[in-house]
Amino acid sequence: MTQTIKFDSLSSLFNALKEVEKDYQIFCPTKQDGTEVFLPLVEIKEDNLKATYEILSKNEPPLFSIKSFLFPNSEIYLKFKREKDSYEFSVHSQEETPTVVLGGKPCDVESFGMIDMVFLQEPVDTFYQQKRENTILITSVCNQKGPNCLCDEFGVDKCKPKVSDILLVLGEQTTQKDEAVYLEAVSERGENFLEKLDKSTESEGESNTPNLEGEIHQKDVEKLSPEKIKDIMENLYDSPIWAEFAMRCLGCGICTYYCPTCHCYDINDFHRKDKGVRYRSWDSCMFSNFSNMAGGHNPRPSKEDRIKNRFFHKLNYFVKQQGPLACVGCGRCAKNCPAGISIGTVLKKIGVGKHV
Amino acid sequence: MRDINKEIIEIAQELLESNKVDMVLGYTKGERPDQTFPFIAKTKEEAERLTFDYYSYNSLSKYLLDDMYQGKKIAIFLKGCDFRGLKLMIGEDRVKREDLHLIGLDCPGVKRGESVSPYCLSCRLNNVPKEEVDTKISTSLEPLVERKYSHEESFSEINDIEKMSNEERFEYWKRQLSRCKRCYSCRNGCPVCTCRVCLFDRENPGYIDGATDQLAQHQFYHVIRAFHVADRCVGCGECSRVCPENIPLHLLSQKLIRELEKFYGTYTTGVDELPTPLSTAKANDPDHFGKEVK
Amino acid sequence: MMQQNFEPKIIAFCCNWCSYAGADLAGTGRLKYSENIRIVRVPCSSRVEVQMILRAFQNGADGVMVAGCHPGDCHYDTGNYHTRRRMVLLKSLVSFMGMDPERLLVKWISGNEAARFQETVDSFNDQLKKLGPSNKVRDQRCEI
Repeated sequence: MTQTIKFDSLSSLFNALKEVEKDYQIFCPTKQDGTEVFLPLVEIKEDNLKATYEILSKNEPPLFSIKSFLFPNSEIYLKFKREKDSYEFSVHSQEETPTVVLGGKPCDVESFGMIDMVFLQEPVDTFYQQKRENTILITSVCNQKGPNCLCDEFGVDKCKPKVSDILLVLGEQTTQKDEAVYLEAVSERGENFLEKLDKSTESEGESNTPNLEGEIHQKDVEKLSPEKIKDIMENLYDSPIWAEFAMRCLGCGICTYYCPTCHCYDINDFHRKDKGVRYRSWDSCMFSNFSNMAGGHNPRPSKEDRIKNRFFHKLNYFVKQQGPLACVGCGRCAKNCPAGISIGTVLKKIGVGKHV
Repeated sequence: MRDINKEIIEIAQELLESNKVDMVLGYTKGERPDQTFPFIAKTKEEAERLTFDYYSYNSLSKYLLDDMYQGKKIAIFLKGCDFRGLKLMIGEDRVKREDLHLIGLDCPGVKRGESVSPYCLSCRLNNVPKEEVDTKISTSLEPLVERKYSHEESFSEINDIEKMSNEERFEYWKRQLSRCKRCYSCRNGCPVCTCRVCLFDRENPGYIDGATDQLAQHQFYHVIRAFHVADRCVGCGECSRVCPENIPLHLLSQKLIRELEKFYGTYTTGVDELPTPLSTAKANDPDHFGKEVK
Repeated sequence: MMQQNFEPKIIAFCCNWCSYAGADLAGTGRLKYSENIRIVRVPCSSRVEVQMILRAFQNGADGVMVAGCHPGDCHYDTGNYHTRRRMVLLKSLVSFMGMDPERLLVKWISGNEAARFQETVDSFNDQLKKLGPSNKVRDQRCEI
C-alpha cells in the first residue's frame, strides 16, 4: 500500500497527473488576469506553474474555497418536458468521472466535515453525496498561520486535517528546503490514487515525508470552546453590537459565498415553453430578500437582523444542532469584506480570543 | 496626518456636544494599518476614534439610504466623489439636505496595496468646494498623485480593449465574467445605485436568475447595471475595488461615459445640473438610425 | 457559418402608432415579408428597455429589431428621442463587450411606409442568415 510518494518538482507532479488525466477530472489552482482561480489541468500551461507553486506554498488559503467542487454555485438536477398532454420528468445525469481537487488548504477540507453533518444526514442530499464519494482531495499543508487565519482557534490542524485524502507537502516547507513535492495518503481513496500515480514515469517512488519547519502552532493560542461561545452569545441577542456591525455592512454576499462552511441555496426553474430545468443555486442570508415569504412578510427586514442571524448561526445555532462552531478560521471574510467585518472582529467584540 | 485627525475629532465633538447633530458618520481605523472602515460616532468618546487617511475607500453617502438613519440629523465626512454622489441623491429627493451637516474633505487619492488606486489617477474633482458644504476641513493630506492623467489618457484601458478584434473582446469579457460569483457587492458599494428596490431584488417577476454557470446571465446583470448607472457614475471606482475577483467593472461605466460625451456633450454628475443625459433627450440629437440598412 | 436550413428568429418591437401600423398596412396590401419575424406591439419605442432586448437574445432570438416613429413624429412627443439615446449606447456597449451589435437593428418606420417595413425585414433576415445562429448571449440550459 503506497503511503507517500515523492516528486522531484512541481512540474514532475503535473506531468504525472497528465498521465492519469483520462480517468479523472483534475483541477489545480493558478492565476488568471492576476486573480487566483481553479482551472482544469488541460488549461494549465508550463508558465502558469510558477503561480501554482506560489499559491501552494503560501500560508494562506486561495481566494475561492473548493466547496464549489462538491456543492456547485448552480446545479441543474431535474429536467422536465411537455409533449402534448403528457409530462416527462427526468433526473439530470450527474458527472460520473471521479474528480481530483488539488490545492485546498486544511481549513478548506475541514469545512466539508461540517457540511457533511448537514447534507449527509437524513434526508441525504444525493447530489452532494455522490460528489463527496467521487472526489479525491489533495490538501496542501501550512507550516504557519497566515495573516488572517484563525485555524488554531477553531481546532483545524494545519498539517494533518481530519478530512482529506492526500496531503501535499512542498520541500520548501520542510527541513530539507528543496523543490521536491511529497504526496502522503491519509485515506483509502488517497492510497488508491497514489498507487496509480506511482506507476507514472515522473515518480521518484516511495519515500517518507520530511518534518515540517516553522512555528506551526502559535504557542499561546487555545482552541475556542463551542459551549463557552454558545453561552456568551445567548446573552447577546439584544446587544447593540449588531447595530454597530450593520451600520457598515453593505449587504452583499461576499462573506457567505467565500466562506467554506456556508451552504444555503435557493431552488428555481428555468423554462421556455414546453421544456425546462429545475436548478439550485447559492443564496446568501445577507441579501435583503433572502427571507421574503409569500404574502410579503420578511422576518429579517433590517441589516441588523441579518447580521445577527448570520453570526448566531455560526456561533450558537450550529453548536446547538451539530456540535462544533461553524467556522474553520480560513480568514476569507476578513480578507474580502469591503467593510471590514469578519468572524475575527465579531469574536473580539464579544470578548473572546485575545489574538483575533 | 496627526493634524487632520485632531481637526476632524474637534469638529465632530463640537457638533455632537452642541446637539446640532445626532450622529457623525466618518471613518475609523481597523486592526491593520491598511484597514479603515466606516464608523458612526454618537458620543464625544466615540468621536475620538474618527480618522481620515489614504485607505478611506468606502462611499459614506450610500449608507444614508438605510432605514436606521431616516429622520435623524447626521454629520457626514465627504471626499470628492462621495460628495458628488450625495448631490445626486439630494437632487433626486432621496435624502433631505436640511437633515445633513456636510463636512467636506480634500481627497489625496486612495491607495491600493502600496500604489495609488487607478481610479484616482485621473480624478480632478477630488476636492470638495467650500461653498457647498457646511464645514470644510482645512488640513489636507499630501496628495498621492503629482500629475494627474489628462481626460484622454484616462481612457487608455478602454482604448486597449477597443484595439482588440470582436472575437478577442468577447473572449476577454467571457474570461473576466466567468469568475463573477454574483455577490452583488458592486451594486451595493456603488454610491449612485440608489433605487429603493433594485430591479434585481424583485421577485415577481423574477428578473435575475441565480445561475452562475451561464455566461448569458452574467452578461444580463452586468450590462443592465452598467446601463442604469451610465450617466450617473461619479468615477469613484468602488465597483472594481470591492469585487473580490478583480473584474474591471469600472471599464463598462467608463465606456458609456465616453460615448455619452462623444454624442451628447460632457456631463459631470454632481457638478452639472440635473437631469442626467439618459433622463432627457433632445430633438436635435445626432440621428444614427436614419441611414439605410447596409 | 451558413447553415442550409437556418431560419433566424427575429423579435421586432414595433410602436403602436407608427411602425405597427406600417406592418399592418404591409399585411393588408398583401406585401410578402419573411415569416420568421415575431412582432411585439409596444405603445412607444421608448417602452423597450435594455432588459427586454437582452432577454430576447438569451431566450433564443437571433436578431432583435426596434421600430419606432420618425423623430419628430412620436405620438408621445419625445419618446423616440429617448429610444435614440438608449439604443446608441446599447449598441456601443454591446460592441465593446464583443457581442455582435449587427444583430440589433433600430429603424424608423412610419404608418404608411409599408414597403419600407417589408424591405427592412427582408434585408435583416438575409443579414442574419449570413451571420448564423446567435450563441454569444444565449442561455444554454434549454438545449440540454
